[in-house]
Amino acid sequence: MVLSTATIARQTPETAAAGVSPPKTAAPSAAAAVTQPVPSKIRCLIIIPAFNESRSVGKLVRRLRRLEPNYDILVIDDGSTDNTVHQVPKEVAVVSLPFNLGIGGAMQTGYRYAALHGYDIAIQVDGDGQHRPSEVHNLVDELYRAGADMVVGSRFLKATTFRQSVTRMTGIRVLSGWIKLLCGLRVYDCTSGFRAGNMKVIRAFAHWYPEDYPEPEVILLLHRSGFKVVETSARMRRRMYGVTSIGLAHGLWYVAKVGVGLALDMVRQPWPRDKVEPPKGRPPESCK
Amino acid sequence: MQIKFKTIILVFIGLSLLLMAVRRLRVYRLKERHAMVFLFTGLPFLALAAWQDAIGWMALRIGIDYHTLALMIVVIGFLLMIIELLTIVSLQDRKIATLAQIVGIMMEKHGMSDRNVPASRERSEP
Repeated sequence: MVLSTATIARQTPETAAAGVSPPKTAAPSAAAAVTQPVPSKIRCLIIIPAFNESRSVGKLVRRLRRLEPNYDILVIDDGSTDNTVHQVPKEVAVVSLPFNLGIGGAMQTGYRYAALHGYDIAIQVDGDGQHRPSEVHNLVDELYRAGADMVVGSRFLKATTFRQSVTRMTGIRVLSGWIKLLCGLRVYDCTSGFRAGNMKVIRAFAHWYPEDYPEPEVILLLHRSGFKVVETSARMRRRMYGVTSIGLAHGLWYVAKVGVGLALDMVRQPWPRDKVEPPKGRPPESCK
Repeated sequence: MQIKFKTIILVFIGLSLLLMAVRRLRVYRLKERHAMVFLFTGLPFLALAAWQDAIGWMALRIGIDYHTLALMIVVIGFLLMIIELLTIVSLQDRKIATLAQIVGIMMEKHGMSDRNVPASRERSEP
């Protein structure tokens, strides 16, 4: 599949609503990115972090297997106290963490697994069912189309029926603006956990990954470290079951904490080049 | 007499801190370099308890007009201890997380994941 330009055209909610083509903006870190076709023999791993998601994770995994039969799936059971782990079909790999590490620790486990098994691409899909399995392939396509290191699936690039609370929207906009101010990269949905990364990103995250609220921090850190991060439109839905862990007070605290964390990230250098660059050919530690 | 009594109380508190550090060193088998953080916290306290005008004397020597500013220097010392402790905790936390991740991956590789444990024997709510 040969795809077009690497220049990313981002569509804001405003331009989408007005039916106006968005202005083309230069890709964040690429001087002259080259269009790359999606290789036919890439190994993709879908990582699903799950903490007490017994009502949604089984359904999600079955849908993913039906829609993406060529992708491997890994569920990270982050110390669940319900029977999340028993809802996953036997054919799907499950890593059960001995205790709850939080979203950062769970995701890093997935990336460690991907690095160890020599996967080319890793895709994050939340275990609560918000991310549509049908959109997974678009992320991978965009990764190659844009010649990017990481693609973030965004709810806000096109007008969709997905609705957020005003508080939540404001928080996301504040963080997005803060990231833009700090490093010059505009990512509209900086808290989205629907992402795909290439081998460089897999190796970087296996080496180090932010722990508490990693999504916005990862965008800034990757951009600062010279990775190319792009955003693509992705339809999402409300979580299937349960309630979000972020309420109003928690949301304000989240924005304040992440804001400070992002500022501190400006002095971090978490990914030394020798830890990130993929080795020539298949990694020696490959298990397959 | 009043000053002596105050000194005794303060020295007693300082000694208690030191004793607590030594006891923890023995009971919890603290690493020496971690226990030293406790000792370095307790020793200045003990010194100040025994010699209460030490801060004023030090302030005069280095030309600080207000003794409370000299006290700030002591506070900075305590803050450095706290930073050291937080660094230790943070590094240990990361090591524990890494171990947990590797244990999880190894268990999956060897078919020892929680999925193979019947639901009735699942871990209970902590």
